[in-house]
Amino acid sequence: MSVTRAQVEHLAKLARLRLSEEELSGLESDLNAILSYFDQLQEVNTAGIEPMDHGGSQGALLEDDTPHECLPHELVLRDAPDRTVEFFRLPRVLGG
Amino acid sequence: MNTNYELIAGLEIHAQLSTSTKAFCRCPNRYGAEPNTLVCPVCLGAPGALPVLSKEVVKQATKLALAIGAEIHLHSRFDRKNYFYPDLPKGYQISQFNHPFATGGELHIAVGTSVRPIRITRAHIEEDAGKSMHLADGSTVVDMNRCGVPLIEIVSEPDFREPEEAGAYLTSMRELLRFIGVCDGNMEEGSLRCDANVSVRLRGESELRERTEMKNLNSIRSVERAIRAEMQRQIQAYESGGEISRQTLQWDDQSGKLTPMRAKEGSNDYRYFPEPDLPWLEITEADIDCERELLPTLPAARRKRYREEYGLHEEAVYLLASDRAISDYFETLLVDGRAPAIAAAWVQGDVQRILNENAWDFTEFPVSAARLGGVIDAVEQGRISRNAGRDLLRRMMTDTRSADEMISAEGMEQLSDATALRGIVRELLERFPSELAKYREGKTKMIGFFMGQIMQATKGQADPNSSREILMNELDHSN
Repeated sequence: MSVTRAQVEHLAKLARLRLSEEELSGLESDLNAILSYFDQLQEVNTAGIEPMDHGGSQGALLEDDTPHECLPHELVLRDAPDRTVEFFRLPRVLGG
Repeated sequence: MNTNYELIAGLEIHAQLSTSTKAFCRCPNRYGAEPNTLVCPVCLGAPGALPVLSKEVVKQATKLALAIGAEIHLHSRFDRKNYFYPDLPKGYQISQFNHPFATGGELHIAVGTSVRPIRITRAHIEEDAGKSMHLADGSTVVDMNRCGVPLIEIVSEPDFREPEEAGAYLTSMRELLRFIGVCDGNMEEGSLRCDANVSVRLRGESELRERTEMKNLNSIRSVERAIRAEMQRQIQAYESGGEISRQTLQWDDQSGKLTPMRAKEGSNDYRYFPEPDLPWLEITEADIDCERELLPTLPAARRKRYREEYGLHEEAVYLLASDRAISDYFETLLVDGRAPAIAAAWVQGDVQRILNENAWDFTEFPVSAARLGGVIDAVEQGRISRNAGRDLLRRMMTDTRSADEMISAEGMEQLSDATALRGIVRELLERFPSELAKYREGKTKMIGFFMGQIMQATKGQADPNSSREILMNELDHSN
């Protein structure tokens, strides 16, 4: 299995990454190296072995539906790049 | 509309669950708080913060799944749905993709006189996003209070053939969610939201054509209007030789227009993958049984009983099973052996009128079923008249006494003693000889005059039926 240059560009777009030609080429070969490693893993015979798709060995622990304290409002907005008194403010988007 | 085409539509309903806390953190799940005050590192997507699911989310999802007859999966899993949007601070939504909580099920809808099932594809648990809004100065701001509020997404099969069927389905689902107490169903506040998938095809075609998705359908009426508008647009496109491309459209309720959303927002490339921060959700048959026992009798079963066993007319059948509180209240009235038709008339008539006049929700109605039951009994036993009963119920809005206490304390007991009534009637006939003469000449409307006099003489406490009987007897037999 391998990825095409177009697929790498599509992924970069979905991830909102602006990449140079050089970076795209680098990622393309990195991704293909990773995929060929998976091809190698595919060769292992896993018949009869339960798939493991999670590190946890037991089911989710659930919490009671009892509210806790929230963050103080000032702390919530303290590190916002832009804000009003109450809200996070977004950068202006032109032609959105 | 061109009737050679038929509609193929399905609905996705998002219902905010009525929990006290959010899905994956214990911030309060509450509408209307000051912006950005109900947030913590988990729902703000701070690095290193870990989600923990609330028990109550699982219980409510179980209730809904049972109510629609879905198959509940003992093992289900959360996935990350990745996309970038300012109201989604983590950059992904925790949802369920490959292993949803429940699959299958159905909901019956009534359109006109026909009732038919709409198949349900799946119901899964996910989290809500925040809310962005535009300020007057042109800037866009975000309130994260809604981030992480638990949702159940219910996806129907593309079973709707008329826009009204989609409206009826949403109406029924809203009623059901409210009935089992898992969502308040408030579409204005966004507790219940709806997207529609729409395509059309020529009648007789078996293949499905390309569909579009419509968002922002915030009322039952707008669901019907938007589907109708999109249906027309697609038919016109095909008829003029055009094609329909898959896209997401935004419905504007005011203009009644559909506008395409930006392509990237409609992108299906969400790169789902298993949420590494949450283990599999494991539940047991015992957990499901526990919720099954708590589940109330559902509206459909109640309506069947009201219709078939109680013989109520359709309007009462519909009203009395549309809301859990009203329905339970009505059924409490029946416990002491009261006739269903009489209890229904009080709830549907007098109680409903008082609710309307005060713009009350039923939960605000101050008279318990036991107290109204006392009023109904007093009327049925002939101790007070129907009108006096009606007044008594109204006075109970501000008086906390029982019907019996009020009746005896205020001497409201109806006069039905035959000897006493006969005495009053005879006295009146003597007092109004010319009116009596007119009656004897054949003017039967004088009966009304004498009934009025009886009521006046007894300050309205004379039992009308006994009075009338005695009056007629005296009119026709005395000389």
